[in-house]
Amino acid sequence: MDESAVSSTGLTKRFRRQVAVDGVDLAVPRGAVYGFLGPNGSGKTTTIRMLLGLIGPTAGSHALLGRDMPQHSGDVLPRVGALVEGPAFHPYLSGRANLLRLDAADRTADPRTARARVDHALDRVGLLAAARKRYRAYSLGMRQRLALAATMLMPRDLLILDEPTNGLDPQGTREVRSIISALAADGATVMLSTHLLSEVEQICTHVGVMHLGKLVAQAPLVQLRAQAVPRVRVDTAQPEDAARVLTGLGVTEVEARVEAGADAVTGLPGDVAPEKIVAALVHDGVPVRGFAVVAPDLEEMFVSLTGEGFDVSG
Amino acid sequence: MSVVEATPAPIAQRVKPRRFSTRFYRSELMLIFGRRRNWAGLAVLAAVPLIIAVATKVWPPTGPANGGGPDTFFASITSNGLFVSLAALTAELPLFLPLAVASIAGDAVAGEANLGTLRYLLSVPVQRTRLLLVKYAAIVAPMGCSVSVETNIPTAPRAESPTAM
Repeated sequence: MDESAVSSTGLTKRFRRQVAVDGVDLAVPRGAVYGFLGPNGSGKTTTIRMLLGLIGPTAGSHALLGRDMPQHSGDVLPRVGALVEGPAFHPYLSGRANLLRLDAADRTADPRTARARVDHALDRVGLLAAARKRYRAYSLGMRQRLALAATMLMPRDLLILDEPTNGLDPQGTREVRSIISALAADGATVMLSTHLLSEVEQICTHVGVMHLGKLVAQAPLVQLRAQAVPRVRVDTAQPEDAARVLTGLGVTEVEARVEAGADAVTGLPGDVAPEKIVAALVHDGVPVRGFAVVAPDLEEMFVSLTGEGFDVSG
Repeated sequence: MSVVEATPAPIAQRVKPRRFSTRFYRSELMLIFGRRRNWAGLAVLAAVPLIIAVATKVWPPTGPANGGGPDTFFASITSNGLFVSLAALTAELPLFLPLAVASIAGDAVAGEANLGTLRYLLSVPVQRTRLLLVKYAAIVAPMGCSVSVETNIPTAPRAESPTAM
Protein backbone atom coordinates (compact mmCIF):
# COMPACT_ATOMS: atom_id res chain seq x y z
CA MET A 1 0.00 0.00 0.00
CA ASP A 2 1.10 3.49 -0.79
CA GLU A 3 2.11 5.70 2.09
CA SER A 4 -0.03 8.68 1.23
CA ALA A 5 -3.81 8.88 1.26
CA VAL A 6 -3.88 11.80 -1.13
CA SER A 7 -1.09 12.73 -3.47
CA SER A 8 -0.96 14.95 -6.49
CA THR A 9 1.67 16.23 -8.83
CA GLY A 10 1.35 19.50 -10.68
CA LEU A 11 -2.43 19.57 -10.33
CA THR A 12 -3.62 22.58 -12.33
CA LYS A 13 -7.02 23.96 -13.26
CA ARG A 14 -7.50 26.84 -15.61
CA PHE A 15 -10.85 28.51 -16.19
CA ARG A 16 -10.46 30.42 -19.45
CA ARG A 17 -7.79 32.95 -18.58
CA GLN A 18 -7.85 32.58 -14.81
CA VAL A 19 -5.65 29.96 -13.19
CA ALA A 20 -7.61 28.71 -10.20
CA VAL A 21 -5.20 26.00 -9.10
CA ASP A 22 -1.58 26.20 -10.15
CA GLY A 23 0.69 23.16 -9.94
CA VAL A 24 -0.36 21.83 -6.56
CA ASP A 25 1.68 18.94 -5.15
CA LEU A 26 -0.32 17.56 -2.26
CA ALA A 27 0.94 14.84 0.04
CA VAL A 28 -1.44 13.72 2.76
CA PRO A 29 0.00 10.82 4.74
CA ARG A 30 -2.28 8.03 5.90
CA GLY A 31 -3.83 8.54 9.29
CA ALA A 32 -3.26 12.28 9.24
CA VAL A 33 -5.76 15.00 9.92
CA TYR A 34 -4.75 17.39 7.19
CA GLY A 35 -5.82 20.99 7.48
CA PHE A 36 -6.19 22.50 4.03
CA LEU A 37 -5.98 26.20 4.70
CA GLY A 38 -6.32 29.26 2.61
CA PRO A 39 -8.20 32.51 2.22
CA ASN A 40 -11.53 32.53 0.40
CA GLY A 41 -11.01 32.03 -3.31
CA SER A 42 -7.54 30.56 -3.00
CA GLY A 43 -8.49 27.38 -4.88
CA LYS A 44 -9.23 24.96 -2.04
CA THR A 45 -12.64 23.89 -3.28
CA THR A 46 -11.48 23.62 -6.88
CA THR A 47 -8.66 21.35 -5.73
CA ILE A 48 -11.09 19.18 -3.78
CA ARG A 49 -13.45 18.95 -6.74
CA MET A 50 -10.54 17.77 -8.86
CA LEU A 51 -9.48 15.23 -6.23
CA LEU A 52 -12.97 13.70 -6.27
CA GLY A 53 -13.12 13.65 -10.05
CA LEU A 54 -16.04 16.07 -10.23
CA ILE A 55 -14.06 18.20 -12.65
CA GLY A 56 -11.08 17.24 -14.75
CA PRO A 57 -7.72 18.91 -14.17
CA THR A 58 -6.18 21.01 -16.92
CA ALA A 59 -2.82 19.43 -16.15
CA GLY A 60 -1.23 17.17 -13.58
CA SER A 61 -2.32 13.94 -11.96
CA HIS A 62 -3.41 12.72 -8.57
CA ALA A 63 -4.02 9.54 -6.62
CA LEU A 64 -6.33 8.72 -3.74
CA LEU A 65 -5.45 5.92 -1.31
CA GLY A 66 -2.59 4.96 -3.57
CA ARG A 67 -4.67 4.43 -6.72
CA ASP A 68 -4.50 6.74 -9.71
CA MET A 69 -7.58 8.80 -9.98
CA PRO A 70 -9.92 9.18 -12.64
CA GLN A 71 -9.11 5.59 -13.80
CA HIS A 72 -9.79 3.83 -10.51
CA SER A 73 -12.56 6.08 -9.22
CA GLY A 74 -14.96 3.15 -9.16
CA ASP A 75 -12.79 1.28 -6.63
CA VAL A 76 -11.52 4.24 -4.65
CA LEU A 77 -14.45 6.58 -4.23
CA PRO A 78 -16.64 4.13 -2.26
CA ARG A 79 -13.93 4.26 0.41
CA VAL A 80 -13.91 8.05 0.39
CA GLY A 81 -16.48 10.11 2.22
CA ALA A 82 -16.90 13.62 0.88
CA LEU A 83 -18.53 16.86 1.85
CA VAL A 84 -18.11 19.33 -0.99
CA GLU A 85 -19.32 22.92 -1.15
CA GLY A 86 -21.76 22.61 1.69
CA PRO A 87 -24.65 20.21 2.17
CA ALA A 88 -27.04 19.48 -0.70
CA PHE A 89 -30.09 17.25 -0.41
CA HIS A 90 -33.59 16.98 -1.80
CA PRO A 91 -35.66 19.47 0.19
CA TYR A 92 -38.93 17.54 0.00
CA LEU A 93 -37.45 14.27 1.28
CA SER A 94 -36.79 13.53 4.93
CA GLY A 95 -33.26 13.35 6.26
CA ARG A 96 -33.48 9.58 6.40
CA ALA A 97 -34.90 9.28 2.89
CA ASN A 98 -32.09 11.44 1.59
CA LEU A 99 -29.46 9.20 3.16
CA LEU A 100 -31.23 6.06 1.92
CA ARG A 101 -31.14 7.48 -1.58
CA LEU A 102 -27.39 8.11 -1.41
CA ASP A 103 -26.95 4.61 -0.03
CA ALA A 104 -29.04 3.16 -2.84
CA ALA A 105 -26.71 4.74 -5.35
CA ASP A 106 -23.71 2.98 -3.82
CA ARG A 107 -23.38 -0.41 -5.45
CA THR A 108 -21.01 -1.69 -2.78
CA ALA A 109 -23.49 -1.02 0.04
CA ASP A 110 -25.46 -3.93 1.39
CA PRO A 111 -29.19 -3.19 1.01
CA ARG A 112 -30.05 -5.48 3.92
CA THR A 113 -28.20 -3.30 6.43
CA ALA A 114 -29.13 0.01 4.82
CA ARG A 115 -31.68 1.06 7.43
CA ALA A 116 -29.45 0.19 10.37
CA ARG A 117 -26.50 2.00 8.84
CA VAL A 118 -28.51 5.11 8.03
CA ASP A 119 -29.93 5.25 11.55
CA HIS A 120 -26.50 4.72 13.05
CA ALA A 121 -25.06 7.57 10.99
CA LEU A 122 -27.96 9.83 11.98
CA ASP A 123 -27.48 8.89 15.61
CA ARG A 124 -23.81 9.68 15.42
CA VAL A 125 -24.45 13.26 14.37
CA GLY A 126 -27.41 13.61 16.71
CA LEU A 127 -30.11 13.80 14.05
CA LEU A 128 -32.02 10.64 14.85
CA ALA A 129 -34.85 12.59 16.46
CA ALA A 130 -35.25 14.69 13.31
CA ALA A 131 -34.83 11.79 10.88
CA ARG A 132 -38.42 11.98 9.63
CA LYS A 133 -38.45 15.73 9.21
CA ARG A 134 -38.20 17.06 5.71
CA TYR A 135 -34.80 18.43 4.78
CA ARG A 136 -36.48 21.74 3.96
CA ALA A 137 -37.30 22.21 7.65
CA TYR A 138 -33.71 21.60 8.78
CA SER A 139 -31.61 24.43 10.15
CA LEU A 140 -28.20 25.11 8.66
CA GLY A 141 -26.51 23.24 11.48
CA MET A 142 -28.74 20.21 10.94
CA ARG A 143 -28.06 20.29 7.20
CA GLN A 144 -24.34 20.33 7.83
CA ARG A 145 -24.72 17.39 10.19
CA LEU A 146 -26.78 15.45 7.67
CA ALA A 147 -24.00 15.94 5.15
CA LEU A 148 -21.55 14.62 7.71
CA ALA A 149 -23.83 11.65 8.38
CA ALA A 150 -23.78 10.90 4.65
CA THR A 151 -20.03 10.45 4.82
CA MET A 152 -20.46 7.90 7.63
CA LEU A 153 -22.85 5.53 5.87
CA MET A 154 -20.01 3.15 5.12
CA PRO A 155 -16.63 2.65 6.76
CA ARG A 156 -14.31 5.10 5.04
CA ASP A 157 -10.56 5.17 4.71
CA LEU A 158 -10.48 8.80 3.69
CA LEU A 159 -12.74 11.74 4.42
CA ILE A 160 -12.54 14.87 2.33
CA LEU A 161 -14.46 17.59 4.10
CA ASP A 162 -14.84 21.03 2.59
CA GLU A 163 -15.52 23.55 5.36
CA PRO A 164 -17.50 21.17 7.57
CA THR A 165 -18.08 23.78 10.27
CA ASN A 166 -19.25 26.51 7.94
CA GLY A 167 -22.32 28.24 9.30
CA LEU A 168 -22.39 26.35 12.56
CA ASP A 169 -22.75 27.98 15.95
CA PRO A 170 -19.88 27.53 18.45
CA GLN A 171 -21.63 24.57 20.04
CA GLY A 172 -22.17 22.89 16.67
CA THR A 173 -18.60 23.64 15.64
CA ARG A 174 -17.34 21.88 18.71
CA GLU A 175 -19.57 18.89 18.13
CA VAL A 176 -18.48 18.56 14.52
CA ARG A 177 -14.90 18.81 15.65
CA SER A 178 -15.35 15.97 18.10
CA ILE A 179 -17.03 13.87 15.40
CA ILE A 180 -14.05 14.44 13.14
CA SER A 181 -11.63 13.56 15.91
CA ALA A 182 -13.61 10.38 16.59
CA LEU A 183 -13.50 9.44 12.90
CA ALA A 184 -9.77 10.06 12.79
CA ALA A 185 -9.35 7.94 15.91
CA ASP A 186 -11.11 5.12 14.04
CA GLY A 187 -8.21 5.18 11.61
CA ALA A 188 -9.58 7.28 8.79
CA THR A 189 -7.46 9.91 7.11
CA VAL A 190 -9.18 13.26 7.18
CA MET A 191 -8.55 16.10 4.77
CA LEU A 192 -10.26 19.17 6.04
CA SER A 193 -10.49 22.43 4.19
CA THR A 194 -11.12 25.48 6.28
CA HIS A 195 -10.27 29.08 6.78
CA LEU A 196 -10.57 28.87 10.54
CA LEU A 197 -7.15 28.69 12.15
CA SER A 198 -8.46 27.66 15.54
CA GLU A 199 -9.93 24.55 13.95
CA VAL A 200 -6.55 23.62 12.53
CA GLU A 201 -4.74 24.23 15.79
CA GLN A 202 -7.15 22.00 17.67
CA ILE A 203 -7.51 18.94 15.50
CA CYS A 204 -5.00 18.87 12.67
CA THR A 205 -1.71 17.03 12.55
CA HIS A 206 -0.65 18.33 9.13
CA VAL A 207 -1.20 21.60 7.37
CA GLY A 208 -1.20 22.72 3.75
CA VAL A 209 -1.65 26.37 2.94
CA MET A 210 -3.08 27.55 -0.36
CA HIS A 211 -2.65 31.07 -1.60
CA LEU A 212 -3.76 32.38 -4.99
CA GLY A 213 -3.95 28.86 -6.40
CA LYS A 214 -0.55 27.76 -5.16
CA LEU A 215 0.36 25.52 -2.27
CA VAL A 216 2.70 27.83 -0.37
CA ALA A 217 3.42 25.56 2.59
CA GLN A 218 2.88 21.96 3.54
CA ALA A 219 4.22 20.38 6.71
CA PRO A 220 3.33 18.57 9.90
CA LEU A 221 1.94 21.07 12.36
CA VAL A 222 4.61 20.16 14.93
CA GLN A 223 7.32 21.05 12.44
CA LEU A 224 5.71 24.39 11.62
CA ARG A 225 5.44 25.14 15.31
CA ALA A 226 9.10 24.24 15.86
CA GLN A 227 10.13 26.71 13.19
CA ALA A 228 8.35 29.46 15.03
CA VAL A 229 10.81 31.62 16.97
CA PRO A 230 9.60 32.54 20.47
CA ARG A 231 9.90 36.06 21.83
CA VAL A 232 10.23 37.18 25.43
CA ARG A 233 7.89 39.81 26.74
CA VAL A 234 8.48 41.84 29.87
CA ASP A 235 5.69 43.91 31.39
CA THR A 236 7.23 46.72 33.37
CA ALA A 237 6.80 50.32 34.44
CA GLN A 238 10.34 51.19 33.30
CA PRO A 239 10.60 49.98 29.71
CA GLU A 240 13.79 51.91 28.98
CA ASP A 241 15.71 50.22 31.78
CA ALA A 242 14.33 46.83 30.83
CA ALA A 243 15.35 47.35 27.22
CA ARG A 244 18.85 48.25 28.29
CA VAL A 245 19.15 45.11 30.44
CA LEU A 246 17.82 42.90 27.65
CA THR A 247 20.21 44.36 25.11
CA GLY A 248 23.05 43.91 27.55
CA LEU A 249 22.19 40.20 27.84
CA GLY A 250 22.39 39.71 24.08
CA VAL A 251 18.70 39.69 23.33
CA THR A 252 18.16 40.87 19.76
CA GLU A 253 15.41 42.97 18.17
CA VAL A 254 14.53 44.57 21.45
CA GLU A 255 11.40 46.69 21.11
CA ALA A 256 9.91 48.86 23.81
CA ARG A 257 6.17 49.18 23.34
CA VAL A 258 4.55 51.92 25.34
CA GLU A 259 0.85 51.35 25.73
CA ALA A 260 -1.45 53.12 28.13
CA GLY A 261 -0.91 51.52 31.54
CA ALA A 262 0.77 48.45 30.08
CA ASP A 263 4.33 49.11 28.98
CA ALA A 264 6.09 46.08 27.59
CA VAL A 265 9.43 45.22 26.09
CA THR A 266 9.80 42.36 23.66
CA GLY A 267 12.81 40.75 22.06
CA LEU A 268 14.24 37.60 20.53
CA PRO A 269 16.06 35.76 23.34
CA GLY A 270 18.16 33.58 21.04
CA ASP A 271 20.29 31.33 23.27
CA VAL A 272 19.70 33.36 26.42
CA ALA A 273 17.72 31.33 28.95
CA PRO A 274 14.51 33.02 30.13
CA GLU A 275 15.29 32.47 33.80
CA LYS A 276 18.59 34.33 33.36
CA ILE A 277 16.73 37.27 31.86
CA VAL A 278 14.37 37.43 34.84
CA ALA A 279 17.28 37.20 37.29
CA ALA A 280 19.16 39.98 35.50
CA LEU A 281 16.11 42.22 35.44
CA VAL A 282 15.46 41.77 39.13
CA HIS A 283 19.15 42.24 39.94
CA ASP A 284 19.20 45.58 38.13
CA GLY A 285 16.16 46.75 40.02
CA VAL A 286 13.73 46.77 37.08
CA PRO A 287 10.22 46.30 38.45
CA VAL A 288 8.89 43.25 36.60
CA ARG A 289 5.10 42.94 36.52
CA GLY A 290 4.96 40.06 34.12
CA PHE A 291 7.25 37.90 32.07
CA ALA A 292 6.37 35.52 29.26
CA VAL A 293 7.94 33.53 26.45
CA VAL A 294 5.51 33.87 23.57
CA ALA A 295 5.53 31.68 20.47
CA PRO A 296 3.88 33.34 17.48
CA ASP A 297 0.44 31.82 16.93
CA LEU A 298 -0.64 30.19 13.71
CA GLU A 299 -2.37 33.29 12.52
CA GLU A 300 0.84 35.27 12.48
CA MET A 301 2.61 32.40 10.75
CA PHE A 302 -0.01 32.22 8.03
CA VAL A 303 -0.14 35.90 7.50
CA SER A 304 3.61 35.79 6.97
CA LEU A 305 3.15 32.88 4.54
CA THR A 306 0.34 34.37 2.52
CA GLY A 307 1.77 37.83 2.83
CA GLU A 308 -1.51 39.49 3.68
CA GLY A 309 -4.43 39.46 6.04
CA PHE A 310 -6.22 36.19 6.15
CA ASP A 311 -9.55 37.23 4.74
CA VAL A 312 -8.19 39.34 1.91
CA SER A 313 -7.53 37.71 -1.41
CA GLY A 314 -6.73 39.00 -4.85
CA MET B 1 -25.68 14.83 20.39
CA SER B 2 -24.13 11.53 21.26
CA VAL B 3 -20.84 11.79 19.56
CA VAL B 4 -18.38 9.24 20.75
CA GLU B 5 -20.63 7.02 22.82
CA ALA B 6 -22.95 6.28 19.91
CA THR B 7 -24.63 2.92 19.48
CA PRO B 8 -22.29 0.19 18.30
CA ALA B 9 -21.76 0.31 14.56
CA PRO B 10 -23.97 -2.02 12.57
CA ILE B 11 -22.21 -4.53 10.39
CA ALA B 12 -21.21 -2.30 7.53
CA GLN B 13 -19.49 -4.69 5.23
CA ARG B 14 -18.87 -3.87 1.65
CA VAL B 15 -20.52 -6.32 -0.64
CA LYS B 16 -19.16 -7.01 -4.05
CA PRO B 17 -20.57 -4.47 -6.49
CA ARG B 18 -23.62 -6.12 -7.94
CA ARG B 19 -23.84 -6.27 -11.69
CA PHE B 20 -27.55 -5.78 -11.66
CA SER B 21 -29.59 -4.12 -8.97
CA THR B 22 -32.88 -2.26 -9.13
CA ARG B 23 -32.18 -0.37 -5.94
CA PHE B 24 -31.01 2.88 -7.48
CA TYR B 25 -33.79 2.64 -10.07
CA ARG B 26 -36.38 2.24 -7.33
CA SER B 27 -34.87 5.17 -5.47
CA GLU B 28 -35.16 7.22 -8.63
CA LEU B 29 -38.83 6.27 -9.01
CA MET B 30 -39.39 7.19 -5.39
CA LEU B 31 -37.82 10.56 -6.12
CA ILE B 32 -40.22 11.20 -9.00
CA PHE B 33 -43.34 9.90 -7.31
CA GLY B 34 -42.45 11.32 -3.93
CA ARG B 35 -43.16 14.80 -5.23
CA ARG B 36 -46.62 16.24 -4.94
CA ARG B 37 -45.94 18.39 -7.98
CA ASN B 38 -45.55 15.33 -10.20
CA TRP B 39 -48.70 13.75 -8.82
CA ALA B 40 -50.61 16.93 -9.62
CA GLY B 41 -49.36 16.75 -13.20
CA LEU B 42 -50.43 13.14 -13.51
CA ALA B 43 -53.82 13.95 -12.02
CA VAL B 44 -54.35 16.63 -14.64
CA LEU B 45 -53.47 14.15 -17.39
CA ALA B 46 -55.84 11.58 -15.92
CA ALA B 47 -58.62 14.12 -15.69
CA VAL B 48 -58.67 14.80 -19.44
CA PRO B 49 -60.56 11.62 -20.48
CA LEU B 50 -63.02 12.17 -17.65
CA ILE B 51 -63.64 15.73 -18.71
CA ILE B 52 -64.14 14.62 -22.33
CA ALA B 53 -66.54 11.87 -21.30
CA VAL B 54 -68.57 14.19 -19.11
CA ALA B 55 -68.57 16.91 -21.72
CA THR B 56 -69.82 14.63 -24.49
CA LYS B 57 -72.47 13.29 -22.14
CA VAL B 58 -73.72 16.75 -21.24
CA TRP B 59 -73.38 18.35 -24.66
CA PRO B 60 -73.54 15.52 -27.20
CA PRO B 61 -71.79 16.28 -30.50
CA THR B 62 -74.04 16.92 -33.47
CA GLY B 63 -73.48 13.56 -35.16
CA PRO B 64 -70.98 10.91 -36.18
CA ALA B 65 -71.24 11.51 -39.95
CA ASN B 66 -69.78 15.00 -39.97
CA GLY B 67 -66.77 14.11 -42.10
CA GLY B 68 -63.13 13.60 -41.04
CA GLY B 69 -61.08 15.37 -38.41
CA PRO B 70 -60.81 14.75 -34.68
CA ASP B 71 -64.55 15.36 -34.36
CA THR B 72 -65.15 11.83 -35.55
CA PHE B 73 -63.67 10.49 -32.32
CA PHE B 74 -65.68 12.78 -30.12
CA ALA B 75 -68.85 11.96 -32.01
CA SER B 76 -68.18 8.23 -31.73
CA ILE B 77 -67.88 8.39 -27.95
CA THR B 78 -71.64 8.36 -27.59
CA SER B 79 -71.86 5.03 -29.37
CA ASN B 80 -68.69 3.30 -28.05
CA GLY B 81 -66.91 4.00 -24.76
CA LEU B 82 -63.52 2.92 -26.15
CA PHE B 83 -63.42 6.14 -28.07
CA VAL B 84 -63.20 8.17 -24.84
CA SER B 85 -59.63 7.06 -24.33
CA LEU B 86 -58.77 7.44 -28.00
CA ALA B 87 -60.22 10.90 -28.11
CA ALA B 88 -58.38 11.80 -24.90
CA LEU B 89 -55.13 10.47 -26.31
CA THR B 90 -55.50 12.48 -29.52
CA ALA B 91 -56.05 15.54 -27.38
CA GLU B 92 -53.16 14.81 -25.04
CA LEU B 93 -50.49 13.32 -27.26
CA PRO B 94 -49.52 16.47 -29.14
CA LEU B 95 -49.27 18.77 -26.12
CA PHE B 96 -50.12 17.70 -22.59
CA LEU B 97 -48.23 14.44 -22.40
CA PRO B 98 -44.96 15.79 -23.86
CA LEU B 99 -45.30 18.78 -21.57
CA ALA B 100 -45.70 16.63 -18.47
CA VAL B 101 -42.84 14.32 -19.42
CA ALA B 102 -40.62 17.24 -20.35
CA SER B 103 -41.15 18.94 -17.02
CA ILE B 104 -40.15 15.78 -15.14
CA ALA B 105 -37.34 14.87 -17.51
CA GLY B 106 -35.96 18.39 -17.51
CA ASP B 107 -35.81 18.28 -13.76
CA ALA B 108 -34.09 14.88 -13.67
CA VAL B 109 -30.48 15.97 -14.16
CA ALA B 110 -30.69 19.75 -14.18
CA GLY B 111 -32.65 19.72 -10.93
CA GLU B 112 -30.06 17.56 -9.21
CA ALA B 113 -27.26 19.74 -10.54
CA ASN B 114 -29.06 22.82 -9.34
CA LEU B 115 -29.64 21.44 -5.85
CA GLY B 116 -26.06 20.22 -5.71
CA THR B 117 -27.13 16.64 -5.06
CA LEU B 118 -25.52 15.67 -8.35
CA ARG B 119 -22.00 16.16 -6.99
CA TYR B 120 -22.80 13.92 -4.05
CA LEU B 121 -24.18 11.23 -6.36
CA LEU B 122 -21.09 11.47 -8.55
CA SER B 123 -18.79 11.15 -5.58
CA VAL B 124 -20.65 8.08 -4.21
CA PRO B 125 -19.64 7.20 -7.02
CA VAL B 126 -22.29 6.72 -9.66
CA GLN B 127 -20.88 6.49 -13.14
CA ARG B 128 -22.21 9.14 -15.50
CA THR B 129 -23.60 6.64 -18.01
CA ARG B 130 -25.33 4.61 -15.33
CA LEU B 131 -26.87 7.74 -13.88
CA LEU B 132 -28.24 8.85 -17.23
CA LEU B 133 -29.58 5.37 -18.07
CA VAL B 134 -31.30 5.01 -14.71
CA LYS B 135 -32.80 8.48 -15.00
CA TYR B 136 -33.99 7.74 -18.51
CA ALA B 137 -35.57 4.45 -17.52
CA ALA B 138 -37.19 6.01 -14.49
CA ILE B 139 -38.94 8.57 -16.67
CA VAL B 140 -39.83 6.40 -19.65
CA ALA B 141 -41.24 3.35 -17.89
CA PRO B 142 -43.87 5.08 -15.74
CA MET B 143 -44.89 7.31 -18.61
CA GLY B 144 -45.48 4.26 -20.79
CA CYS B 145 -47.55 2.79 -17.97
CA SER B 146 -49.57 5.95 -17.56
CA VAL B 147 -50.41 5.99 -21.26
CA SER B 148 -51.57 2.41 -21.16
CA VAL B 149 -53.53 3.05 -17.97
CA GLU B 150 -55.15 6.02 -19.61
CA THR B 151 -56.30 3.98 -22.55
CA ASN B 152 -57.62 1.22 -20.31
CA ILE B 153 -59.24 2.84 -17.30
CA PRO B 154 -62.04 4.67 -19.12
CA THR B 155 -62.93 1.53 -21.05
CA ALA B 156 -63.08 -0.73 -18.04
CA PRO B 157 -66.41 0.36 -16.57
CA ARG B 158 -67.88 0.63 -20.02
CA ALA B 159 -67.05 -2.98 -20.79
CA GLU B 160 -69.41 -3.97 -18.07
CA SER B 161 -72.19 -1.68 -19.16
CA PRO B 162 -71.69 -0.90 -22.82
CA THR B 163 -75.00 0.93 -23.13
CA ALA B 164 -74.36 3.30 -20.25
CA MET B 165 -73.72 6.28 -22.45
